[in-house]
Amino acid sequence: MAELLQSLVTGLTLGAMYAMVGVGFVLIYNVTGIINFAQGEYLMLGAMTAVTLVAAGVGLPLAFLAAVGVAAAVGGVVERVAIRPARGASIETLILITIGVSITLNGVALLVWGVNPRRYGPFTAGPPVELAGAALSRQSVWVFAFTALVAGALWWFLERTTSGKAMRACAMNPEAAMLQGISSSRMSLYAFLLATGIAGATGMVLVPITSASYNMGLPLALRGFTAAVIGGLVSPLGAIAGGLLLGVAEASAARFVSSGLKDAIAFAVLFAVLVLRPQGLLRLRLASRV
Amino acid sequence: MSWPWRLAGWALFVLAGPALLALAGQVPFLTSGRLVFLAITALAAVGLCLIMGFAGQVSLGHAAFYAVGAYASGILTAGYGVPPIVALLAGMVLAGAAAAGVARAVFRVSGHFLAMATLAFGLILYYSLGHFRTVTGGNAGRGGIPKLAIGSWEATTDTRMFLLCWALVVLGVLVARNVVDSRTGRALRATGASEVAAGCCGVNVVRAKVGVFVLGALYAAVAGSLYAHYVTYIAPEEFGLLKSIQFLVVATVGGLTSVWGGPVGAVVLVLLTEASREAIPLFVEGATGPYELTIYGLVLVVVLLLFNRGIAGGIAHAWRARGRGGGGDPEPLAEDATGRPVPREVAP
Amino acid sequence: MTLLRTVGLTKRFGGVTAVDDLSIELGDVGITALIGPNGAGKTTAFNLLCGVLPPSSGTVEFRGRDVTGQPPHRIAVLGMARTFQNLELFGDMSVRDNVMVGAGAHLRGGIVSAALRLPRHRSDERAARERSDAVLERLGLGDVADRPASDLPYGLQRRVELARALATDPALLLLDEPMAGLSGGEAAEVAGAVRAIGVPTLIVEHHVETVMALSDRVLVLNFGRLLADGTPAEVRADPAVVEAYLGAEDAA
Repeated sequence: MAELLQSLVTGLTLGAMYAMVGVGFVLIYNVTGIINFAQGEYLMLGAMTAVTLVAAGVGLPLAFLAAVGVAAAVGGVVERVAIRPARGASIETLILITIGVSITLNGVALLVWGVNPRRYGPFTAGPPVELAGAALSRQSVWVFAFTALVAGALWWFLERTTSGKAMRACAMNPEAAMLQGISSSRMSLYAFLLATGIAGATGMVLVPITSASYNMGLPLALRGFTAAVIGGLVSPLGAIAGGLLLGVAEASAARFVSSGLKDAIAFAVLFAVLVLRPQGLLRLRLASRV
Repeated sequence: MSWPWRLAGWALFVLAGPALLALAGQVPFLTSGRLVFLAITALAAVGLCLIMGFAGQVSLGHAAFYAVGAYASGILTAGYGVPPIVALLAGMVLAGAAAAGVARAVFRVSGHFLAMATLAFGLILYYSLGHFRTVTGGNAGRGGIPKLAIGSWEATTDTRMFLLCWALVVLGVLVARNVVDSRTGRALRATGASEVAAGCCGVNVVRAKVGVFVLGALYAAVAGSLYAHYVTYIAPEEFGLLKSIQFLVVATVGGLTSVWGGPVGAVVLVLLTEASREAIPLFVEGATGPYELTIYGLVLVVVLLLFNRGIAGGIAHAWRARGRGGGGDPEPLAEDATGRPVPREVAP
Repeated sequence: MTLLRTVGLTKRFGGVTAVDDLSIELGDVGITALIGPNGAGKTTAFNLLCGVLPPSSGTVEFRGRDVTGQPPHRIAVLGMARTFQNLELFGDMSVRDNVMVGAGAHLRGGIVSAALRLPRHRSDERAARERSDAVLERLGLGDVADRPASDLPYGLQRRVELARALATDPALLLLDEPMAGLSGGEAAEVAGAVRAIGVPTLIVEHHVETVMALSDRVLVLNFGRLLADGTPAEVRADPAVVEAYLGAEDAA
């Protein structure tokens, strides 16, 4: 029982990370129709920026803001320089462009930061929190709090602010949105800024758990994408639920099947969902489209 | 193009092999060993061009079939003493069968979903290679693979191996040309332009796509076998997502819709990345790791934004436009010839 | 003899019934027009006949075989060819290659014979080429055979679609608004070509006058239902048709 609970707790921590990455995929896909393959690189940029600043003696709150800022700035520039000029191109071309962006950011990060992983300690020091026999690291608590905060803030933004509503309108019906005077170009930029900013923040929060390295992005991006697909790819809430589900599945597989096969199992899930139920496993009523 | 031009083109292509070999002695960063990898990459990329350029299916899992070829060769020759050439053929059969199965599954979806499904397949195989140690040697890999031999002829030197690989690239391009320039090729190009119209012309769209996917996988399998016999050691590292992406970049930069895309892309990218491995450390002190990735990524984005037909495709297009006497693209026609909104694969 | 028969053919999209209980029978001669106001379900009916869409219920029988739910390529090989309202040409391919795709419908050689250039491939290519060139000549497209299809003016593109459909050697031709966007002269040319072809044809058209003159029989669809079926003169005199369609057209 304790073992089951422990893998549940571990799984939920993993899942919260996947969820945050998945949300980024959903935001961009909904507004632009693009699967942003480079999504994981912004997470890496956030993590690397924060690690560098913290190592230079900057405080965590400032490092957090810088992580968001750098990731979103790069995301915005990429949207303007590489994505926008190719609008109207085929889906295939757009996928390839985001892959190119992903490799480029990866290579540049390698040149700037080198191959060695870096890290800083948990936000709050101390022993793991005991939860009915299962241990929950303090940083995991931060990850959960961060996930909840982002989910809440997103909900508020999309449902309560003019920009958020405009973005939703753009996702539901681009032509009608255009007639309402909503610029799809601006919304595409906003979606990239928002998604890459969230990715940067996620990277910063994850450093104490995963450490930061130039190639940390892709594995997380793939799982985040899986999370988004499980959730149906169009709803942020679905992506969060999908992420938690995937995390728990992966942790259980690692504990009860074989830790060596947990990655293969995660991607078998992705393959099966994509091929058999591309509309997603979860049909969340309240999960409105962005 | 008239036949003398065509013949000249092929002659140039065949001779490019020895010419590269001669160049390898002159340029500091190019060795005949690198050229073997260049030819292997080119061969796999020709197959990927068929899949992506002619069946219109983005594949992010091409390295999986490369792995099947390599592991079939490695396991059969090192483990069971099977002659390399037989192992190579066995690898093709296995990869073909795997591709047929995967294709039937993934062609139920399209666009992003298809791309990500091929990616997932590639990763499943990659992680399985590391896990099933008794068969594959696990992450430590598997060594003791003999050099390629055909009868009493052995590819013992880099030069020999490269010439053999280059001959296979030429053969591969020839076969690809034959397929493209046939009923199947036309059916595939038609499917790429309008799947509905192709179906209504009697094209069995699924069979055509599966057929070309399998054919493309065979190229990767042969390339994988060549790799295993050249390096004589295989480990999962070589067959991961990065390899799939490398094939993808080579094919795209060379030109997806041209049978020449594979070799052209391989030559351009290998020369560029080898040169960059020399040049980058001059600017960035202490650069380590696979930083030539930067070049791959940049070249890919630039090529896609500036000439989306790739290098070989762009040259072929310019040549045809010259032949027509009229430059520039034709005026867009009808309402849906222009920016139709990108369809989402799944209705919300 | 019956060439095509539908029984209770119905297609629903969500709550909308685009084609409603359509039962028609076509013989193996003549030109039949399918007309109706916008949104009457004409194109949907076409898509049901040639297998592009599966029906919600009902059956399609073609040349004595039940083809309900069969994929388009199988129905095409049985002898049903079609053109599209919004041209669906293979734009980057030459006109000849477009037509050769159609001409390949009855060939059996596959990827292996092509890859290895087996004798099978050579005979296939020759057959497809001869058939295509004959059709191109017949439709006056011989001069533009080597140009990319997307380079041609709109009127010629419509004709390439017709050539491509004919190259499949059809027993029944479905033409979806073959005169849309054409000038009066061009439309008359197309009408003449359709007459001259002599293949049984089902034609959806908006140019009511042209189609009335061209057709032997007229089917009128309204809200997905068959409203009238008869000779052009009979249909013209049918008060229901006048109210639903022709009257509205006049008013516009």
